[in-house]
Amino acid sequence: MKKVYANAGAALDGLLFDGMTIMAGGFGLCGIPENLITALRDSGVKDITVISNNCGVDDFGLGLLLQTRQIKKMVSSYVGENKTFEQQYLNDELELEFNPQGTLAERIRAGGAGIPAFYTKTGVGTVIADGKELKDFDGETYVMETGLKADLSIIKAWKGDAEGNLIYNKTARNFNPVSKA
Amino acid sequence: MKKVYANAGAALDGLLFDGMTIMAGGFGLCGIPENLITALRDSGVKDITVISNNCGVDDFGLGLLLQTRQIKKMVSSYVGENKTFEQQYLNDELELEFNPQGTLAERIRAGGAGIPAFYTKTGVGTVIADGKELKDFDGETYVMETGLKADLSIIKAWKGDAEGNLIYNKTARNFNPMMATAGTVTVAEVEELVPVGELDPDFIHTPGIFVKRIIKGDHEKRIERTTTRPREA
Repeated sequence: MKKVYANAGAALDGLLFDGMTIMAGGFGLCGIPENLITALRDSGVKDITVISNNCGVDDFGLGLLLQTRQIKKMVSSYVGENKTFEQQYLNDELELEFNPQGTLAERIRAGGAGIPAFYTKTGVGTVIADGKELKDFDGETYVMETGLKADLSIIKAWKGDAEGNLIYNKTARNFNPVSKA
Repeated sequence: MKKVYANAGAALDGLLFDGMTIMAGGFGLCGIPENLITALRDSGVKDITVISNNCGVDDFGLGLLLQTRQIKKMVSSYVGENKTFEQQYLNDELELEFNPQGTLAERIRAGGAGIPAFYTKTGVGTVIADGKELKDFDGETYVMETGLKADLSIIKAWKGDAEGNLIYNKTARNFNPMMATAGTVTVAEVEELVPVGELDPDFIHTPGIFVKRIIKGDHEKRIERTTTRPREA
């Protein structure tokens, strides 16, 4: 199976549809799939749900897709560094599902590992746990969090080969390895 | 905090008690903490629950602790390669909790990550799921498996430094990284103890924060069965 494509546009060909869910690796602007994000913008795909730690800055990274209003919903842990993100959210123009950062990472890992749900202490007793199932283990209360999957994951690595084996560079690794879900 | 100890016996000093739960890294005889297992045997600690993929062979690895009957219970995925294991189990002299191999690995990882339970499809509709909670997600049934922790994890790595940072060698990695996170105390033995700063941070498998004590061991690295290609004429 040929895995190498000439450019980002060709690599996304046939994979996109309106209303789809996309995971995007990176933490802010660190370790983001810059080329694939630009190709997503140019494709015009819309009503996307994006699962990513945050949403770049106003004019770079995933922020580009906010400017064009291609994103319907963000599943994130942080909305800072980006006024467009903040304003679209405050104006009710953008749905937002907030996650504690470790919970977000684990939900993505769980999705990739075939685990539909797990229990964590993080968020118990806060709005994060509202409407979620609680369960006691050894006298302590935990909240059930569900695994996350996506129609498409776009990730960025340092080195890769034609078989798709990847090595990340330092902290640019961040959410990329787990975003294979 | 000084993490480097002179030998396996010294590294286990003060950590052992009868009836304790111990995780032991390795897969068969591959990637096992040989020196720490011998020190466990010599310590005489008994009624141990051992969490490990299997139990070595009759006369090496964890099999040594079966011979001395120090093990009360095994939490494992495989009982082959070891007649003592098989016989003690069939004679009701040894408790055994069987796990699908991926479930065992994930239960250990979950314990180390502070996750008390998770759901998996593996084992649904089999004896593995007997007495366990079932739950449906998107029309499919899953079984709840609990996280595993231990009073002590003993692991084996290839290279380590005085801060406890570890790098494993190829498949000798196996269960070691997960177990390093799931022990109240983790003791590691390595083939090479290198100066701090020598290991490339990006290629450290187990960060030193998980490792409380470390020793440089001597390793026989026995192989269960050696299969080689016939020499060409």
